[in-house]
Amino acid sequence: VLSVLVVLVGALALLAAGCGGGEEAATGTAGGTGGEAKTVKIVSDLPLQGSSAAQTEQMNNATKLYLQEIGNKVGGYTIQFEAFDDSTAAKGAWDEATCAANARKYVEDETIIGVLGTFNSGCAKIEVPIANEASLAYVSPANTAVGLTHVGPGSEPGEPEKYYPSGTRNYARVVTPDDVQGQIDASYMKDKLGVTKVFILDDKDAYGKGVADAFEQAAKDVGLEVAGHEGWDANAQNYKALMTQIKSTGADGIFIGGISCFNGGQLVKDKVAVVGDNDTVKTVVSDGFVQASLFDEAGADNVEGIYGSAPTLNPDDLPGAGKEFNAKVEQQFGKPEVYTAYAVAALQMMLAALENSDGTRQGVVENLLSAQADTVVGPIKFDENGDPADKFESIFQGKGGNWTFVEQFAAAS
Amino acid sequence: VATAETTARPLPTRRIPVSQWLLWIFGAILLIATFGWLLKEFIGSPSRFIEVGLIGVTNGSIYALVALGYTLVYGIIELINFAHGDNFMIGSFETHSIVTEGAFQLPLYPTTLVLGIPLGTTAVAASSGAQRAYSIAMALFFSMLLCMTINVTIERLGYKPLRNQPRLAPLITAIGFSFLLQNIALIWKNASPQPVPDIFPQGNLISTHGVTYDWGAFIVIVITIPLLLLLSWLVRATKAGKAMRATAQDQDAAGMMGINVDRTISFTFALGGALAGAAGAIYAMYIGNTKFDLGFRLGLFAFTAAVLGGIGNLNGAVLGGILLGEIAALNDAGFLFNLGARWTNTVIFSILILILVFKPSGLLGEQTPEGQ
Repeated sequence: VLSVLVVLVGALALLAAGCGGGEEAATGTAGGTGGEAKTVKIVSDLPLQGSSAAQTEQMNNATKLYLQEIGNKVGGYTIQFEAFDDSTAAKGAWDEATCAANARKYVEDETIIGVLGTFNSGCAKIEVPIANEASLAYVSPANTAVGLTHVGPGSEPGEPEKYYPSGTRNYARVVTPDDVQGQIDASYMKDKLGVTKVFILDDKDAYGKGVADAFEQAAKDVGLEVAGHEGWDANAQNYKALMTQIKSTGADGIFIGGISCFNGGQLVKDKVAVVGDNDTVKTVVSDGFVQASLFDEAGADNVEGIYGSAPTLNPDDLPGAGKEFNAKVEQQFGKPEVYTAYAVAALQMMLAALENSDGTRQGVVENLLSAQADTVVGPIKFDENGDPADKFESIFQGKGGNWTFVEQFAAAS
Repeated sequence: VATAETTARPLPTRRIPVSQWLLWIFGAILLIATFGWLLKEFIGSPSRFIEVGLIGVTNGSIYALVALGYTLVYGIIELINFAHGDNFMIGSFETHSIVTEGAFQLPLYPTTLVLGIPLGTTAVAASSGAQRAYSIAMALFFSMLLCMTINVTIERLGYKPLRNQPRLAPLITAIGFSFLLQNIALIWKNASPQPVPDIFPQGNLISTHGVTYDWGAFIVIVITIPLLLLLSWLVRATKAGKAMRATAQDQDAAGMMGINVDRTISFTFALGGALAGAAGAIYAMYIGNTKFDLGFRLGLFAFTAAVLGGIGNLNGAVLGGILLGEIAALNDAGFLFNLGARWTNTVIFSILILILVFKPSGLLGEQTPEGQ
């Protein structure tokens, strides 16, 4: 009877190993016997509910996949990962109170040495100052607001100092900020699309207004006439009256700065209905609109021909390692979203800072801005502000229900 | 001694204080400036002005339909039915189900338990005219039916037991139902915007001299006006309407005259619900987008419209709704002192404050048990 039991237990153990993925289990044990590795915790802070849920879920999955591949180890440290949510179901987007509560939670948990986040710039503006006092490092895969790191077109008074009360920077990001986006979009509109007079719209939110202001500044610099600059209300029924105003100015181009979840679908729909299609009156949207969901919300016909910029590489231009990783992501979690690879790049930069440090929060922050790594999106290093040293913007175009890569531009220095 | 002093004091003169005069002068200047400005804009670009005006009427008639629901209920039991806006949103969700899923759906918890009755109403812009007409009719019918049922149920469960309690009690219940409906919608179709295909006839009905007026907007009016006339007839000329008016004036007396007060109040809620359902269906099909939190904001606007026109007053609700849509459109188009879309909400609520300062009972006067 006893032997039968032993066999049964053995079989169960095998089954369990089978479910968990045998190889990982084996390496895990081997690593464990290595002994003195210090365990540290890295968390992600993303909006896991609402319009961006599909993308952020995949970002977390990719992060976990990468950690699994390196056996949850870097240098002498064992990495523990936990995903946090900065959104609420009722809002369907990031939420101020949740962001603040999250940051306080991280500060209190001494095992956490780094945060991968946030996704939305507005949320970072709340979390970073809280974490700054406790020297907790942040690397964001997707924040693009200018004022988070430096003064420039689109930043507000008192930025960025007000986010770093301790005087030491604890924040860096792996994507190009919006002043560059405004610059590149303005020259693209003028030089490549032949627009002479542009009307600017923003969603009245921190990010949207910032990128629109940066664009306006850049447009004036390159000699593009600005016919007007308006804010749209995310809760309005429709924007037909607003569009008649744009039509009456005779603008031959429209720039939209904002996030598409603020009723962006309706805005694009009414633009085409009142002002005309995207060939006649060219439309350029900021990266908050370059999402697959826009095709559903506005109707694919209305998005056809719209140009959108994003601070991300064309998936085909990823380096070999990145392509390989993306293929794995695609196989396990579906078609890679724009920021998925950047979530992993943010993790890689955080790990690079950790590797050079003494394993304390203070140590990670000290090594954050000097961190360098050959990431899945190519080699990254930070400039003195915590922005990536190589700044660029890719232009995509809505075609047949997909965002197709058009061209990539480096920032003018 | 005290009595002597009191009687000795001269009677207060009924002189209007200077501050009141100043207020009126300020109001008059503001009114003249606004109309002067609008006239200037009209002369500047008449065709665009007319086009924007038409957009305002269309958007305003949706406010009007929702505002009528608030005003009907307020007129009869003096309750601000906060759940009304969310009921409207549920109507738009039902229309989304009927047009995109081709089925009447009833959301049950959890989502996997959505009850569906297939109707074959799935339609897109390219569907045949007959199919789209069938879809529009079914969407209107079932949205109205569902919202009617919800409104009556809410009244029976939540408001009736509290009818003789302090007025705050049903108000809080109403807010509770508002959140309840919002969360049901959240579970039903999640937080992202729900696109509805354009099944109203496409293209322009009128297109002359730079003025365009599309078919969709025309259909909104074609559906709205008969509904308003029907409601007006119901309240004015039928027995049920007479009972409603009597109940609004004095519930106790109405009861003594043999009017079934409970049934009359339920009937009022049914009417309000049907209008919310119709507005939801029209909104979903004309605007082409709906979202779970739509009801709160649009409900607030519609309530504002009802107050603007005079709460409890049916004509007032329609006037208030259209006026609100018109102000929003004119300001969106930059016709009001060049303020522009960024300031639309501020403008609307400033106008509300001004009207309440100068005419606290609204443009056409309150019609409530107290106000009459």
